[in-house]
Amino acid sequence: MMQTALIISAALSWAALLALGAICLALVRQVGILYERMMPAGALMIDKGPAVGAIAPVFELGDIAGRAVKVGGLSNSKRNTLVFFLSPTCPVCKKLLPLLPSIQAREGSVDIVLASDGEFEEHAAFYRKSGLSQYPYVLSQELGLSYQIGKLPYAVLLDDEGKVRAKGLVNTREHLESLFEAKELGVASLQEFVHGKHDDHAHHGHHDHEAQVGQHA
Amino acid sequence: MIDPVILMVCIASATIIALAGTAPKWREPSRFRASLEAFALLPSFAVTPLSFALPALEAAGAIGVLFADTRMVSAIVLAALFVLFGAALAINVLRGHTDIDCGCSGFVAASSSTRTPKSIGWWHVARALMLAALAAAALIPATSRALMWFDYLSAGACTLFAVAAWFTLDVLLVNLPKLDSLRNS
Repeated sequence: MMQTALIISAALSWAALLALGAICLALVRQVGILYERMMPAGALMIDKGPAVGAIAPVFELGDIAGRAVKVGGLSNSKRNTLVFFLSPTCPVCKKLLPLLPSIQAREGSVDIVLASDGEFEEHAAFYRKSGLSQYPYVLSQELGLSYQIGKLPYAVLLDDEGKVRAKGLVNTREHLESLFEAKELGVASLQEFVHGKHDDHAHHGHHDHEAQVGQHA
Repeated sequence: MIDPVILMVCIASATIIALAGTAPKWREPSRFRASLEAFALLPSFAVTPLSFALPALEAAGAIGVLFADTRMVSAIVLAALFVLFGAALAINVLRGHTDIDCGCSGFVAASSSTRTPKSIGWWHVARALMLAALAAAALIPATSRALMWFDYLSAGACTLFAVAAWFTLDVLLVNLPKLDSLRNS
C-alpha cells in the first residue's frame, strides 16, 4: 500500500513541477515584455528649432507676475535653465507640473521656467491654481516659435553658457530626467546613447568640460 | 477510474477556487451585475435575478461537491456553470468585444481598482474550461484502495499547490491588459 501512496505522491509532485515550470516561463515572459515596453525612456526629440549644442536665442521676458525672466544667454550664477512648454488644456502637462519641484531638488542648480502663449486671463488663473508660483511663467509666442514647439509638453534644457543641451517631448518623469542624463552623458538624446552613437558626442562633452575647467581657472 | 488521492485534490481545489470566485460577487453585487451586462448576452430583465442566482448556484455547487451524497449533482452544476461562462466569454471574444471585465478573477480582481485596464481573451476561455474539467473530474469514480497517512499528506500539499498555482495564473492574466496598456503610454 505504501508503494501505491508513494507512486501517487511522486506523480503529483512531477505534475506540480511541470506546472511550476510553465508558470515560471509565463512570468519570465511577462517580465521580458515589461522591460521591452519600459525601454524607450528618453524624451522624444523632434528635429526642429535650435540643434542640441547650438547657442540658444536669448529672450528677456516678463512673466505673469511681472518678474523679469531671462531665457538663454550666459548665466551669471552658473545655473542651468529648464524651459517647460505647457498649456492649461493639456492633461499630460498637469500630470508633470507637480513633479517639477522634486526634479529641481534632485538636479540641483537648475532654474525652471514655464512657458506658454495665449490669453493672459486663462493662463493667470491656471498659474494660480497650479500652485507653482516659485517658477516664472512666461507668455511668449516668439519663444515658442524660436524652438518650433509643435507638441506639448515640451522641455528644453539650457546650460549656464546658454547652449541647448537637451530637448524633447516629455510625457513622463523619466522623459524629464532623461534630459538631464543626456546633458551629463554629453549626448543629444538618450536614444542616441542607447543606439551606440555616443562616441564622438561623449568626446565633445568631455571637451566642453575641459573648456569649463579652463574658465574656472 | 482515478486514484482517490487525485480525486481528493480535484474536489478540494475546485471547491476552494469556486468559493474564492464567489466571494467578490457577494461582496460587490453591483460589480458582478455590471459584468453580466457587459457580456451583452442576457435580456435586461434577467440580469438582476441572475446576478444573485449564479453566485448562489456556484457556492452551493462548491460546497455540495465535498459530500458524497450530493457530489454527482453539484459537480454537474459546477461544470455546467463553468462551461456556460466559457461559452459566454468565447462569444464575446469572437464578437471582438474584449474590453470588458470578466468578473472572474477572485481575490485578484477584487483588489484591483476600477481604473486598471480590463480585457478578456482566449486565455480566459481556457481558464473557464480548465475549471469545468476540474469540476467534472469529481464525476469520475475512484478506485478503492485503503488510504494511509501519507496519502492525506500528498492530497493536502497538492491541493495547496494547485490553489496557489491557480491564483498565480490569475495574476498573470490580470497583468496581461496592464502590459498592453503600457505600450501606448
